[in-house]
Amino acid sequence: MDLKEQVVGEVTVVEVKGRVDSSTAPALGERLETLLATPSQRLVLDMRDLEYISSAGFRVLLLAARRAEQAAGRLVLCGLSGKVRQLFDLGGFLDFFAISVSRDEAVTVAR
Amino acid sequence: MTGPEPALLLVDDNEDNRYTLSRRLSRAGYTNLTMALNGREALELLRARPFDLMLLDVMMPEMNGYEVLEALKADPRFRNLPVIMISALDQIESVIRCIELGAADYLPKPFNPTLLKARVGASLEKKRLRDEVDAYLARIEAELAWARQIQLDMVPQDFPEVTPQSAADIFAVLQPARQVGGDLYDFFYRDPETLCLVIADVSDKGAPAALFMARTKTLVRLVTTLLRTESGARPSPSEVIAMVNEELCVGNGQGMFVTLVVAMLDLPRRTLRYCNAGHTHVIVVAADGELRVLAEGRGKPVGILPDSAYTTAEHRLAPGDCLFLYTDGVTEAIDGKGGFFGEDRLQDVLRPFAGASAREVVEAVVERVRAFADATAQSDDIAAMAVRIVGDAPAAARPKAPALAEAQPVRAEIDIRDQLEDLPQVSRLLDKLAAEHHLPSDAVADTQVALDEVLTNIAQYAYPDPGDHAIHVVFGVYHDRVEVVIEDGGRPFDPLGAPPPDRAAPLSDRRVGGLGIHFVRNLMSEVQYARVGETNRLTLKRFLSDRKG
Repeated sequence: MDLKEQVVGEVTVVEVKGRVDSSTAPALGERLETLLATPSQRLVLDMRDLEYISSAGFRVLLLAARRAEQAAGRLVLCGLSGKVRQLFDLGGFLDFFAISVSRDEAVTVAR
Repeated sequence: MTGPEPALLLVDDNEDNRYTLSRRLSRAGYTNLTMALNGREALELLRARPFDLMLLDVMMPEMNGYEVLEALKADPRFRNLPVIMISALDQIESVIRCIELGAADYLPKPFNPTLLKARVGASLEKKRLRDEVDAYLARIEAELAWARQIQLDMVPQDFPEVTPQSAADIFAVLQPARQVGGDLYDFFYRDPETLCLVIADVSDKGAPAALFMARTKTLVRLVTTLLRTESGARPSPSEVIAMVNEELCVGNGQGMFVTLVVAMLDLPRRTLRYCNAGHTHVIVVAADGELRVLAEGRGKPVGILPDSAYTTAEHRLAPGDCLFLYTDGVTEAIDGKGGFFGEDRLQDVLRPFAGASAREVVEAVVERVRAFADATAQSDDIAAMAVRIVGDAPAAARPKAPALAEAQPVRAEIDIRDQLEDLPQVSRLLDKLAAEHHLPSDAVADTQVALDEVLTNIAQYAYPDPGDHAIHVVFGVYHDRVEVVIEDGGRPFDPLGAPPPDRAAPLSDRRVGGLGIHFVRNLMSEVQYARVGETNRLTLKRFLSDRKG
């Protein structure tokens, strides 16, 4: 897994690349935790280059969503395609998170 | 116990109650107290660190006592945690419901100091004993897993690769019904032209049989390779068995015995000389699909009577012939209705595999026996070995190869510890196989996710103690599918029996726990679980053409 961050106005975009599984999920969790420690954080997770995500990864995303909610922040996902979208669907998470089709839309929604 | 001071968790939304109860508990000598205001808080605390006892109120906002008890019941980690319900004296109906849900005891309000002390003390003592039993069992399990590995290492597991130049193609499996067992196979070259084959079955199961098995294996090898008869010649199969019999009759106060076959295959002359001491017959699967049962050279099992007489029989083999040696765990496997697998069924399985590789023959038999016994626990140790004479069968006699034989499966295996940091090794091995065999990325991703779920589960929940335990993973790449067999010696756990996650629950209530198993079941084409002896064996299959979801 590889994380790449970019700041677009008041929104931070994190590109999550490669694989999120039990061995990489903790690193993702730590990074999201740090980012969401800032109150009212606007966060977009771009999953365009994500190969797959296992339940360990979903656990981290659920925690991040809860953190964002508590700190009046926003968490928007985008770039779900193929396998990743299938996994979100299988877990029943598609209507759980705010999910945008494109990164631009996600940034607008998160703002 | 979690420490010298028993850790108590007190769950009550009423501040007065918490105050009174904590005062009384401290006065009774329990000072390691933690408070929670409702069920949800209590569960979060429990997941974060261990407690020895929970005192639980029934009526609470957010999550009440019943819901807490249900949540505890669903999680094997809290199996040993005693719960004492706190309730008003007029709430006896709800107390009964709590006891039915798994609560250990109850304390009526207002609190009586003597009763409080007695009930808390009794529950803690019970917990301490249960923890001790668990630790003891874990230690025994760990020792047995170790013994199993030693036993499996005792039989040769490197099967020579078959090339057009090699004379014989060999494959075998050993599957003890419990952690260790009394079955045995062995093969070795006595000299470059003579391949020796041994299959044996000790008259019992478990540890006593395993010790006798080790003794038998060593004896047969040493007698075969080192001893000379009085005439200075190498011993024949019947002479080997006679000498092993003399030795095993000595110091055998428990009256254990062994049935075995010792066979010597003269490769250049394709002649098999064999002796059978009370064991199942060797079957020859000829290249033309004909089966021959080698019923001669019979004698008594060894270890019973000194001076028993044994004879050696001889059989000529043709190129493409395959010898099949097995123990009665194969033919006496029992299905759910109490029926035996039987010799007829075994022959039916073998017949279409004429001309197939030794591995295919053995795997076909083991697979059919497993399917036959299905949910029934493996009742007896199983050993099976096939040896095929390499060389071209006469063209007319060559049979049509069965579908399974069309493509040789590729196998790769790895042993890791049940620690999260070891999991990437398995994932890398799958990547390597995927690259070498051009597997579709969709199937690889599904298998990676499923493997991550299964292995994480084992690493986190299979063993009560945090030490290292082995997980054995075997990949099989077939022309139409990827198969993964995952074996661990942890507590019995059938992921197919676990309930699906509650997908409708609100975010804050969702437990990700069941999600991994949900993924495994839905991403894989087939999932099979078997408890084999003390081992959990999970088989995942992902067909390459499957378009799931």
